[in-house]
Amino acid sequence: MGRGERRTALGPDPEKGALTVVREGPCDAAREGPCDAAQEGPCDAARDQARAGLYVHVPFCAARCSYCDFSTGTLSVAKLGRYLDALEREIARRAPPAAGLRFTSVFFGGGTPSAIGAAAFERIARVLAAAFDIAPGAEFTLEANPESVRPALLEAWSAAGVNRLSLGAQSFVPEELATLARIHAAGRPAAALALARAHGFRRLSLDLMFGFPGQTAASWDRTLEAALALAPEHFSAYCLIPEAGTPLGDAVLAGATALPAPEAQAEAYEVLTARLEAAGYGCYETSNFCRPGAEARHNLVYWLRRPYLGLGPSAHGFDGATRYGNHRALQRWAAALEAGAPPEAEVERASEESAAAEAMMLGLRLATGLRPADHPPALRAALERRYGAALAAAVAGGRLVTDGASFRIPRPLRFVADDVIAWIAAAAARARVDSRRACSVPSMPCPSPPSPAA
Amino acid sequence: MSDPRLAHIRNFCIVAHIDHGKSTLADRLLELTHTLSPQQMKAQVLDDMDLEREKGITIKSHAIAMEYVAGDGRTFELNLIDTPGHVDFTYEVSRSLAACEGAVLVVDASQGIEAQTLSNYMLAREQGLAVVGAINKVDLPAARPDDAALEIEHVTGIPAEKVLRMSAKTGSGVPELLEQIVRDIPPPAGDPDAPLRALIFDSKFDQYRGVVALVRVVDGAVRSGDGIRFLSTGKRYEVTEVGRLRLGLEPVETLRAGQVGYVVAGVKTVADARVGDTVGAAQAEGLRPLPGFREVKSMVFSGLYPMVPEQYETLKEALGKLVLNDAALVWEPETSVALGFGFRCGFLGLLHMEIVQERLRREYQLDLIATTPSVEYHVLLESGGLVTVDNPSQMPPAGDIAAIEEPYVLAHVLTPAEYLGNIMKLCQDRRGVFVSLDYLEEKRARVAYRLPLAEIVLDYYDRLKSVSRGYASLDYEFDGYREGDVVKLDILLNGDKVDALSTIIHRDNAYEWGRSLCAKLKELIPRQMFQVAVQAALGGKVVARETIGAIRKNVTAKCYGGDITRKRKLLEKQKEGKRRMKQIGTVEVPQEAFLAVLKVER
Ligand SMILES: Nc1nc2c(ncn2[C@@H]2O[C@H](COP(=O)(O)OP(=O)(O)O)[C@@H](O)[C@H]2O)c(=O)[nH]1
Ligand code: SF4
Ligand SMILES: [Mg+2]
Repeated sequence: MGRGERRTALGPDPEKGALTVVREGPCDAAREGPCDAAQEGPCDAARDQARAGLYVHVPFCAARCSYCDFSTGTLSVAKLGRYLDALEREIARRAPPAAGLRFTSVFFGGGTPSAIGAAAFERIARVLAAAFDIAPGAEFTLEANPESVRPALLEAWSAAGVNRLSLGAQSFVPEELATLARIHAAGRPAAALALARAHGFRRLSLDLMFGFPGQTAASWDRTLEAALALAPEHFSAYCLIPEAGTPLGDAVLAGATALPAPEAQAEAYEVLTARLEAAGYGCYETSNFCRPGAEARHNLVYWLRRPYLGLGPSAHGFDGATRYGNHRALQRWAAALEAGAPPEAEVERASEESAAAEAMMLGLRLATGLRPADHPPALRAALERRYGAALAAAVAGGRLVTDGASFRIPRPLRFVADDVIAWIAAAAARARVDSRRACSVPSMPCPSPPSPAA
Repeated sequence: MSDPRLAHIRNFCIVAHIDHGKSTLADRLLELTHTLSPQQMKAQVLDDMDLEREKGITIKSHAIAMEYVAGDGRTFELNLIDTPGHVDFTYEVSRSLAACEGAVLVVDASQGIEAQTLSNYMLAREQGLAVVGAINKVDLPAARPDDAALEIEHVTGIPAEKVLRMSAKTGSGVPELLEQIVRDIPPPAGDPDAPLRALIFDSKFDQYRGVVALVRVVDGAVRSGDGIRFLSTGKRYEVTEVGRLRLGLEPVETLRAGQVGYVVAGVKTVADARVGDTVGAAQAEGLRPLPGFREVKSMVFSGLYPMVPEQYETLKEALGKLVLNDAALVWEPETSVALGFGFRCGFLGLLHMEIVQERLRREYQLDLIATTPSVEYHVLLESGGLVTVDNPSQMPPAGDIAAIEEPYVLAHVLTPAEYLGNIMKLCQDRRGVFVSLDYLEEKRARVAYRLPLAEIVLDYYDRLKSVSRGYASLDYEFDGYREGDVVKLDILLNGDKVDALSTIIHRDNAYEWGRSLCAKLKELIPRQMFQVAVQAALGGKVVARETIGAIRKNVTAKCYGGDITRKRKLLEKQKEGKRRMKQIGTVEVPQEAFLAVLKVER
């Protein structure tokens, strides 16, 4: 536990097989002011608590949103039954190899986990608690859509140990909700949040979306205004990605409707960052903002390249060496498990090269940046060997800043982060070849090996 | 006088302007002589390189032997050499002409004589070849065979009524042409009993055989096991195979005086079997080399660089192999501050350059950057020395230069008279000096200008075609060096000079050129992380500037629910995209930008 952290309870309760609520206090970073560029980002305590994640994909939604390409479908009794049975099979398969792993976060995502009833949820939670070693005080998040948040569910979640809710608000402008084909009314998130608070939930997050067709600076302002008024502990804000195969994405790709210009999207991101920071929310990762100490531990697991186990269709997992991705379609995933076959559609063993590339790309999304020291010695060495020169060049060219221990994308470049990351990857690839080539050209002096990152 | 033993041989080529029907005619001849079975026939069968088929032009010379039973019952051996038709390849035409005794001059009935018809005819006459005139495409509604025949008469002196009318497409008139070939083209001269002398008129590299020299045996004979020597180098080899040129290579026991065929002798590179060289009997003393070949002269130079440095060795090997097949290509290693390690290449012209690049891309999967093409300047130094500069970045400092001489060409343009005004204006805009004007007939003019080569190599040919609606045609020959007021125009990206983008240009055009080039580069260089200043400078003085704004958005918002593999693959793609650009100072420059100079409209 990091300094300044305060527990209100310890869990899980062995009797109930449930987890109890943990509340965090401010970490070091928070005390020194969330907006200080050198200090923002997930504090050490949060990093420390993000050791291993457990993800459960719930592939059901009441209706499909116009931009959504997730693995989800409408709910039916038959499908739910099949899903639950298959999920149990998958848990039985995956639990033994995960025996040594203590999970510091549990995340129910989807889909809409709140779309399944209390009984189904309880059944999953029970099996999970029995099969896996879940750390006392683990973060337990459930994604909920505002329209489905009801007292009975909240009670069931709370009883099972859920201590964090992530609400899909997306927009507070009715016409925009229609564009996005969100089924909740604009006022619904406020009610859902109030209800959750009344049920003792202290870690609440709102999902927002920007950069979609029809959104304007003024409407974005309205959404931010309304969202901030609800004072959640955490925000996730995503710029729309027009995915082929979704109604909105296809319309954009076909030119039937237009995204706001990149300048307008960038502007929306700047407004977002500025307004949230002014209200005390630090941007600890490209798309995630929180009050001091309220970072989503589960997300940090991904960004810090720590292990996580994924269950359910389209879920992904990583044991530190191998990544897998389950079949996306519920039917295929379930059929495989029913046949006693592996549910994975893809399995990829990390190479030194892919591990270093991941560590670099993931770390740079965090406001605290890429910290080689976050990684085990072998990976740290690979990072320095493969990316040392490129990182130094990126610093020299103003693409990164460094304090010697970490490399960060400066704030003004956050919205072009992928460009920075690709630049570093390309520079590293070039440097590797150049050093080989230079040595094979007789008249050229052989350069000293690239200097490792500070 | 021809030896009676050679009386049944006819070696000829077809000369024509591009698209007048050479290759199609060759197809008909192959058919009529049953050289190819119907299954082997495909349109323009001799154009066997993919590129030739696509561009519809002949790049390499081809040769093929045919057996023809004439109307009088005698059997003839016909050797047909198909030649290239673009202005860049005039030299290849001359090589194949030297292997022949006659030429069929093909003129499109609707186009009439064009510049290359004429220049090729002149070359043929220089070689003393007998010329058979033939008007092609008489099946076309727009055909004006009588006008074309009069043009031929006017130019060649062949009486209009003796000029054949044919359609290579339908085949009508082609049998008559064959008869005329055996009647009007003389059999080869040469002494079958003298020691071997053979002209190399082309050479190819064959994966299994090594260098295959295409030869015309002039004296003596050659067979497998013979000792031979190449007269220019004195190197000796033992012949391992000789044969005739059919659709492929067809080994025979002996190639005799007068015949056209190939010789394989364990030669590893064409540098040792140079096109234009004479193959002689190894033991014979005092053999005189055969005349008739022109030195290849590179007109245009450009740096070729691999997009990614690991392809350097592949590029080197590929150039080495292309040179085996392409005597006109020259290359040597060079380095560029901006682009790293690459090669300076000399080409016959822009089409040749384009073809070489295209072959490197297709046949060797190379991803290339080509630098701004340049001609070769003579730079006279204050110190009294002279340096030749074909790479703008190697231009000595202005203070050291006493004068710069640039290469000139004498350009002949043939055009319908109505476009004459446009064409003369174009030539004048390109610093041309008028030389002569005459009329081939009432409506067809031939104008000659002395022009700086630099003004021709970039877009002159395209401009010429466009101001004449495609009717004008061009041929040019090297015409020495003359002093010119040329300067080096540098391009700076965010203040860093990019050597690969420098050009040498006439001072009068420098300002406008600088402006257009900056504007073009702004179009071609994508937005970057930071704003990019594109500047053109003359000797340190900025004469034009454009600004490329910074990109505003490039970020994947979501993390795809832990699907890191997908994210990494996206990164991989973006990385490859970036690797397809050159990092120059702080700026990433895509490969197209290096040829911006070719895309500037003026
Ligand atoms: N109508 C017609 N078209 C012809 C004739 N001969 C050639 N062509 C066409 O003219 C074009 C150029 O012919 P090609 O043989 O490639 O010309 P080359 O460039 O001189 O080799 C092709 O599209 C041929 O099909 C002909 O006698 N009549
Ligand atoms: S609620 Fe979420 S998972 Fe369901 S359709 Fe909408 S965006 Fe997709
Ligand atoms: Mg042709």
